[in-house]
Amino acid sequence: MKYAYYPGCSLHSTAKEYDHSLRAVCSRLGIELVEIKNWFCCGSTPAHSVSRLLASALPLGNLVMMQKMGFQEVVVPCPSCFSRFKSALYRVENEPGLREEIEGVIKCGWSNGIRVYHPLEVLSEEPQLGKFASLIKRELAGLKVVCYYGCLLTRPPKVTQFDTCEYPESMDRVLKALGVATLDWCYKTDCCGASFALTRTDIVVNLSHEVLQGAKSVGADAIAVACPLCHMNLDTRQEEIEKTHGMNYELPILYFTQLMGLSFGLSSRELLLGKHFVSAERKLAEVK
Amino acid sequence: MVRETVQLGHGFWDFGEAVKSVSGVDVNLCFQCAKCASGCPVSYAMDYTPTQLVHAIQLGLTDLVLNSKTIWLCASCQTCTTRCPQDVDLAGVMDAVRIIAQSKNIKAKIPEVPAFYRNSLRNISLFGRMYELGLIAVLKLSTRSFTKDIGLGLKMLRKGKLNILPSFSGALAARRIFAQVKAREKK
Repeated sequence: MKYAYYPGCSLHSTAKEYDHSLRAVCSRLGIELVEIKNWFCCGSTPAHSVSRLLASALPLGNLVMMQKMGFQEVVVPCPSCFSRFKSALYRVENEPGLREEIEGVIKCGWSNGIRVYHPLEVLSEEPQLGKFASLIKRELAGLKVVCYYGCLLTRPPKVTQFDTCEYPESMDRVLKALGVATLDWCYKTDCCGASFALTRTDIVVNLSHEVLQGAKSVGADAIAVACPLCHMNLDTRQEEIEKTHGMNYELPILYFTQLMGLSFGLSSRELLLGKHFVSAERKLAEVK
Repeated sequence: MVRETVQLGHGFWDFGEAVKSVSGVDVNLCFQCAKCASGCPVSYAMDYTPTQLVHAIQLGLTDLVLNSKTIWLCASCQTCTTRCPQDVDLAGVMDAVRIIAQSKNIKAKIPEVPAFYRNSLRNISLFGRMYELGLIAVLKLSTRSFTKDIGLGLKMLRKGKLNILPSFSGALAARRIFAQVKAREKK
């Protein structure tokens, strides 16, 4: 299987470990990811808060470059990018005249039938799910994990068309197939504070605190995530949360792809586990 | 029964129409059930709940809306849009009022938020991809909050989570799009 790949800015900087682990597990599963050449930023929150036209033109400019490389299907691991891509496609289909306007901006047209996938959509379905059993090298059965999907994978559902919007299960399905115990909890799709990380950190500290508290209260050893921004907020703010709320969680936050990699026998070094603020090594040693 | 005359804002219909022309959303569909406010993760920090803000737009209270904290504190988490029984895309409305406020050069109640938008977009139009370290430096300069999160930033650098140098891949194509959008929006 072969897909175009749009990593997005975070996966080349703050979330290199997500990029590395995703590429590694995909190669084990025989999925080829071909990075879109010279891709640029999707615009994320700043673009849609400043210009509706820019917010759709940036994702579509990237999709046009993908088509020039001969692809119709792209894998987008960052939920913020995923949401911008899906939203741009939804808008050009539903807003009369917008397609022509955007074609004028990017000086290029595109053909219909573009498909945007989050890796979870590919990995939680057959045939990939069925391949896991033969690839498992390491037992992770003792690990209790909660799956945190965040905001933008599932919302708004008519745009993203991802899983079930209030209680998604695709990440749970992936991890369960590896033998990891995933727990039910109430914060699967709650907000971590998102891009307030650079402006109003007090909001991030409050919202991320609630997510960590929710995970701890059901007895989780770690939180599995699929979003670089969720990861950053939950992982790097624990010290500040301890200072503000007096709670020491010490909860490792792992990309679901890192858990997959560990299960497939990849080393901590290959999965860049050392990049996390809260170390996962101790918890992982306990389940050896 | 006490009857009192409510003074509606200047341009009663105009504001709702302006919001509609930017976002395509008709705020008059809202019947004030408050489901958006109930699910909003940031409403605790807002001066008006999302439900109140929509009501104010319906009433044409332009000044109240554009000078509120609420519009800058929306996290765009899309919970309100998802749950609205009337299918009012409230996150889209928030985008629209932010866009209107910025086009009118209104002094934002939470100035660091539009400063973040502005500087992020400048960053992307220059480098093509987000150059985080550059963005952080510019934000620190513009808000003069040099010590805040300095420990965090240094630790991220040490862990190799921030690239020292920017990448220029994609910069040219991105810059062309920015220029085209700017030219069209000026018209």
